[in-house]
Amino acid sequence: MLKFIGKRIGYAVLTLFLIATATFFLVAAAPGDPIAAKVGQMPEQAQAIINEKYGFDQPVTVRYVKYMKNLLTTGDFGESIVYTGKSANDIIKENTLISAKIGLMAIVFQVVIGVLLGMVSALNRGKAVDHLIRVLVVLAICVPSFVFASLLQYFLAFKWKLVPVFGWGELKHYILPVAAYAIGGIASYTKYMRSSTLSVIGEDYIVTAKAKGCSRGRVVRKHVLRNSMIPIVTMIGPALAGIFAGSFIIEKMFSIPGLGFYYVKSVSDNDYTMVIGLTIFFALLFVIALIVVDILYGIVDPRIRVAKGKK
Amino acid sequence: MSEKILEVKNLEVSFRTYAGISHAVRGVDFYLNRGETLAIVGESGCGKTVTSKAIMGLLPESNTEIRKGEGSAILFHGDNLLDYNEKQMSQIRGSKISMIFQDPMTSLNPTMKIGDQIMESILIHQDISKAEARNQALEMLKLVKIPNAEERMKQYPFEFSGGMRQRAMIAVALACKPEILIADEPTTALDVTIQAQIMELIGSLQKELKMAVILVTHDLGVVASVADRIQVMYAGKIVERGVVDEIFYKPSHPYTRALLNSVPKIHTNNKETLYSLKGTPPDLINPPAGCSFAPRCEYGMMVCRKRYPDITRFSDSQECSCWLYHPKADTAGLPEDMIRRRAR
Repeated sequence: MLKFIGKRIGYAVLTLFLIATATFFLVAAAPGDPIAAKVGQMPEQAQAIINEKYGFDQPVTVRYVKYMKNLLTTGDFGESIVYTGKSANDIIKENTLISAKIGLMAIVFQVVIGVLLGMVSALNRGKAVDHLIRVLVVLAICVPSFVFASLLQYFLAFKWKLVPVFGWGELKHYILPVAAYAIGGIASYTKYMRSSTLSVIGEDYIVTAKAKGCSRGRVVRKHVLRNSMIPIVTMIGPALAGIFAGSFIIEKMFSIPGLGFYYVKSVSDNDYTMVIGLTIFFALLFVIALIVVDILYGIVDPRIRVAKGKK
Repeated sequence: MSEKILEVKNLEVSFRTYAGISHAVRGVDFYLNRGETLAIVGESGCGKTVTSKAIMGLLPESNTEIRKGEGSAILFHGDNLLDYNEKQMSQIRGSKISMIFQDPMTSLNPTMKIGDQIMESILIHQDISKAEARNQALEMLKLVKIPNAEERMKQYPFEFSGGMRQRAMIAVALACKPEILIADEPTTALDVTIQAQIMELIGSLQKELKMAVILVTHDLGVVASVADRIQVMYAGKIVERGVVDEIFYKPSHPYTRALLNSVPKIHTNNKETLYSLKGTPPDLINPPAGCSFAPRCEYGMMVCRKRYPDITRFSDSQECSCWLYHPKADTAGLPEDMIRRRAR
């Protein structure tokens, strides 16, 4: 198991390095100029000073080596071009938690409600409940999250005045963004859980469980649930990493100062250091999430645990 | 010895399918005595598995129709299981009547320890502590001759070989010492040496626990050494039944004879072609009128395709449904032993 994890970490480091390199050169190759965007009509002398400060007077390869050296020795992503005086690290530090809070809450709702609805749907296959859930699932998957966000804002906040339209800080501010963010995920977890539950129900060992005298409830709790959760676990990993980046639309709509908000803004601002820094950060989260999933997998499915242990 | 513990009367099971209603079991009667082994033999799709699952109440409710009332019944100690609700059935399943299945590779829960799977039925049916249940489960595992039972209790099914899994399956089924064990093709998925071991194991446990066994199989070779009585099923009906010797030495139904002929004998030399029965079983959505074996039967007559034959009794135990034993049947071309049997 340790050897396996070590190997995975090795690959992860390599992946991160490649991503950093690719992003660096892609951003450099993109049209547009961060300085021009920022300073507009500055005197040439001032522009030259800024260019020198960020190293834009040097060729891209030299900048790359310098950047990497700095990153590897200090772990510093560099100073933001737009938010002067703040490094990309600061912005990540300040805003990650905000995104993560919403994302984590949303994921918890997604998995819990999705798994529940999926099971209910599968266990009542062909009945009215199943049809209703399936129609809702298709609807929720097809309609984009910003539409839900607006609908929620309109009805819950504007018309019925149950919650604030937007804002940040208190618990009540979480309700709408988390709901809007979670709906799509609930639908996909429901869909996956339904199909995996259906396939588990058809397995021979479920007949065995019934033949033992298990009641319907016991069959579901002890035999169906765990086995049908296995594919869900695979989905949770990437979703965990995605919560930091994926909530951009929601963050924008509810004016939440999260990381996704900064990510997209830095792209449109041509803020080199921010784009590269955030990309590496997201990649890091993703890679970690995938390793965590592999370990989680082993906990849910004993077959994988031992196979890995024997390697 | 001859106390009837199970009596199946006029069992009719049909399934609703997209193509129409499939009549899988069409009026089956039989009984089971305490401690005996009854074999149900027939090719795939003849209704033998459906019959056994009907006894267990394991057929999917959504698309299955089991005929109730008017002489149709599954009597267990005189109580009609067809009238039981799901809760009552689950109290019978695993404690009074147990079942083991064809494929041990898929019949055990892959994410549950073997020990827990055996303990589960004990805990459901008996009011005892977990520790006691664990001890009983361990005893069961030893009883089915699994080495290092204590260690094996903590392992998962994927750490067991096929034969071991079937042993574990048997341990699960017998954990509550049931009165009846239904073994549905218990050795089909195993290789021949393991087959013999498993059959031997079932036989010895049967004596030890004094339980009756319904052995469902298509393999007459498996049946010969263990069964007391055999009934041959074809297209949802029992076409012939008798004690083992009668079926093997005096087979009377052309289908039984065909089955027996298609078993390779030890003295068959390799230049002979093994007999094989031509054709396929009939479509049970539109079962043919008359005897459903008639289209494949070497001796088929006009009447066979029109009316279902009555039962002809040859002894207390052997009977057969075939027109060839009717006094007016044309005997030309029949094998000699069949003509001789007619005369009786």
